[in-house]
Amino acid sequence: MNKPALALMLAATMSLAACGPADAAQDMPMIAEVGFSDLLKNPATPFIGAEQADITIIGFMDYNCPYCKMMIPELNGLMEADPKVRVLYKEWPIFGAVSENLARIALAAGYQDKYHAVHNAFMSAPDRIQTNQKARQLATEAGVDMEQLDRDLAAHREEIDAVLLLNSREAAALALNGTPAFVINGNLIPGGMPQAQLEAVIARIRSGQPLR
Amino acid sequence: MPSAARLKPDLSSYADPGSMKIISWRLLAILFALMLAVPAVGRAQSFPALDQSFLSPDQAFTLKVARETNGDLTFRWTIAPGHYLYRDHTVAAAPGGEDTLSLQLQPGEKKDDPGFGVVDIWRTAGQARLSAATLERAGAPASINITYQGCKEDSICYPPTTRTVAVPALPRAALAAAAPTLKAPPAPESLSASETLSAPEPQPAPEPEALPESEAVDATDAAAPASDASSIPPAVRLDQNAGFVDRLADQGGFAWVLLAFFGFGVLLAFTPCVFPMYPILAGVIGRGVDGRGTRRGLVLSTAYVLGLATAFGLLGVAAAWSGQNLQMALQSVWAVGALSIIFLVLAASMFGGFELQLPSAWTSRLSRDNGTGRRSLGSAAGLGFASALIVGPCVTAPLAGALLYIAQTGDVGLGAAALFALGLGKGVPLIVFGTAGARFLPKAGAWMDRVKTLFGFVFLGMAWWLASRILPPTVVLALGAMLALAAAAVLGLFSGPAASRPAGLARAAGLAVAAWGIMLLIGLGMGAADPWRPLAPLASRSAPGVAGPGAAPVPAAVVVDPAGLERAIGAAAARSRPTMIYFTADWCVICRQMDREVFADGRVVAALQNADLIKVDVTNNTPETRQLMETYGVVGPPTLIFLSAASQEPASTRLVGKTTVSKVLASLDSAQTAR
Repeated sequence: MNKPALALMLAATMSLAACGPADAAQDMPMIAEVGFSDLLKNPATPFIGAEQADITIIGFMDYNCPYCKMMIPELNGLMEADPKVRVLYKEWPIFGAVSENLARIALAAGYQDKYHAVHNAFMSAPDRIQTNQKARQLATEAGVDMEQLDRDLAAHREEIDAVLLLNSREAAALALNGTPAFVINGNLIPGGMPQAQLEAVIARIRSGQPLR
Repeated sequence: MPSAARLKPDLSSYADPGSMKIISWRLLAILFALMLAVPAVGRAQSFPALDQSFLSPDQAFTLKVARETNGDLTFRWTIAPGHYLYRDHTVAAAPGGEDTLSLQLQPGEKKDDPGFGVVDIWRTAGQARLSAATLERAGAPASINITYQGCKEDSICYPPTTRTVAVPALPRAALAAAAPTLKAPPAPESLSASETLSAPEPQPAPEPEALPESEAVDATDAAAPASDASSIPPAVRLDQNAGFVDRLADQGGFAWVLLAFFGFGVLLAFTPCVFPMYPILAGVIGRGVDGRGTRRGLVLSTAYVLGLATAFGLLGVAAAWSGQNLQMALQSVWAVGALSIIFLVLAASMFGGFELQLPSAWTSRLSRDNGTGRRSLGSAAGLGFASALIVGPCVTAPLAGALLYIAQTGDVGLGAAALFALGLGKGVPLIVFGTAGARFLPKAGAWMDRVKTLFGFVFLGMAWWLASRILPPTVVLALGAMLALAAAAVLGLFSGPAASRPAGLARAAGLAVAAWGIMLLIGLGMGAADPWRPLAPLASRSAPGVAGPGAAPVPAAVVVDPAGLERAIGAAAARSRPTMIYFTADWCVICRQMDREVFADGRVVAALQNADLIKVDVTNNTPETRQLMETYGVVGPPTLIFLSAASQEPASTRLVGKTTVSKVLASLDSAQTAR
């Protein structure tokens, strides 16, 4: 083990000791009665990542939430590094009408198999997206047939409404505080973390260790 | 935080109860375990996730609602550390109403997240105001839906929170203030602690009837709608838009602000602050022209001035970003001390102590010659930019006003443009000098040395004048005397017979300066404190016991915090006396000048017999004084606010900056007659 890592561990141990384990548990959200498999039932969007995965990460996201955008490269890096991880994004627009419209466009793009293209375009936009016009421009650039999209938005309106409602209810049931939030094989991770930490958590889940 | 019980009915609508798998306690246990395990890792890195304990939106953003006396509804959020609210995501609506109601949002802080852009946020605290007029238009609803949204730093963003708040009834104080009850003058009592503790100098024994009265104030206190510290005392209604730049902007918009600042700049160009630029510019032109080039002089000096203006514009941007009260910072003992030392150094250089120039690394870069011996436009602009930084700290009222306006509103665009205009204005005489000077000024020679000596004394004078704000009066007087006598000597007063007419004139000037120096010495011996009126003790001695024309009016109270001011205003209102609130500070040089020239004037003293003078001492930059200035919309001292007997500020009575006797009298008159 090299020196920086050792120092890091030492600091970590000390901060753990200083903080004490009790306070960490205090503000834990109550997990309401929703099962992990329920979260995965009839997913509205395709999984990305591994076909044969033993780790499934569910991410509750909003395209205009800065910390969600920061998590995308971390998750992409993780899937690149780990061939048995898959990710399912749940659209949970909490930043008002524009965010909701972004989610609708992404979901409607799914009917022409362009969900991820749009998702990536929105998430990697250099600025937050403030107008529907900008959203449509980004979708067009991502290769979406906009006439088809408008038809899908109208034709599948009820289905899309249902997905958004379901996602927000799941978020409420999980007592999520906000975006981003992740559920990894049934473990709630409230908020973002870098790839290295994600890998550490996943290693523990895989080895069957209690996560401590 | 939602409980499982409350959520259950929601879930049943989409999940088949039979198939619903329950994670419940087992998962919870795992989760807890997870929480215990990873915090160390989380802390060691920049993206903590698992160890964070989340506040509920209500814990993170505590909302308080108050009704002001003018009928406005204010929403105040106390924001937990590490959290912030998106200023522009604050929305108010009447229940059932489709349209949102317009809110006056307190200026926010700019936050720039990579990949997200610049947003206005509130940290620590936020405030939104729903005006009485807007409430009226909305049909005076009994409640308001207020929606707000924020994030935890580097963690998560909360969904929007909407709270329905009942609109409190109009506070009684508003009605009471309209018809103040007459009260018998209170019995004398001592000044309360907050009023005496930080008073800048020992106050003369106050007249009994001018004392703040506590019982009368209690009545107003009881009716205070918002005991929250940042509110205006309940009975006081300020003239809206009384701010300096606000007012300019209201009168004629952007162009008017720019024009005004350009004008200020031209005026500022004749203050000693700009003097150091002339020799620098002379250097630029001198080396830039090859004998006759007036055009070249024009072009070079214009480039120089553009560089100067750009530096000022950037100063505006810096002010907006820092959000700090720059005037107070720049007027601190340290800044003033440093500046006067800079002037001492400049003076030393003028006397030939060393060659004044920018660090050679800069000059060699800036004055790269292109092999022709001429300075390039770029180097002239660069020197202009650099010299703005040298004289930039020389803060004057419009500059400070602009900086403060920018800092308070975060309006970078207008602020930077205004300061750019200020810089251009400052540069006009420089351009004239650069253009004409190139032709008319003789080539370097003996005259240069004389000019240098003159500037040396100007700089010494600047250093002395600046230091007079922070040095004890006796030292100021002694140094002033030394400076004056030295100047007289240099002007040739003590040398042999004058050889020429110019030498004779110089000697006459020397005599005047020497006379003043001697008066300073006499004043020093008699215990005078004011270098501009060194013989004042003599005048007061000749008429003992009688307040001469120089006697300043006795303030009813000197306050340093909102509570003290509230009491003092209440005391005046209780006796149906109008008030003149004078924001002043020890470091405020213009205030001292006003003390001498305006407040000591017999007519003002007489007019103040029928009004309470309340001094607000903002010498110390404390949260209380900052809050006072913010609450009363004061950009900086000196500012005079006039309140009628009913504690209302009559329109256009406020006086900002240096003012005149007639203006003060006019405003006092308005306050007397207004209700």
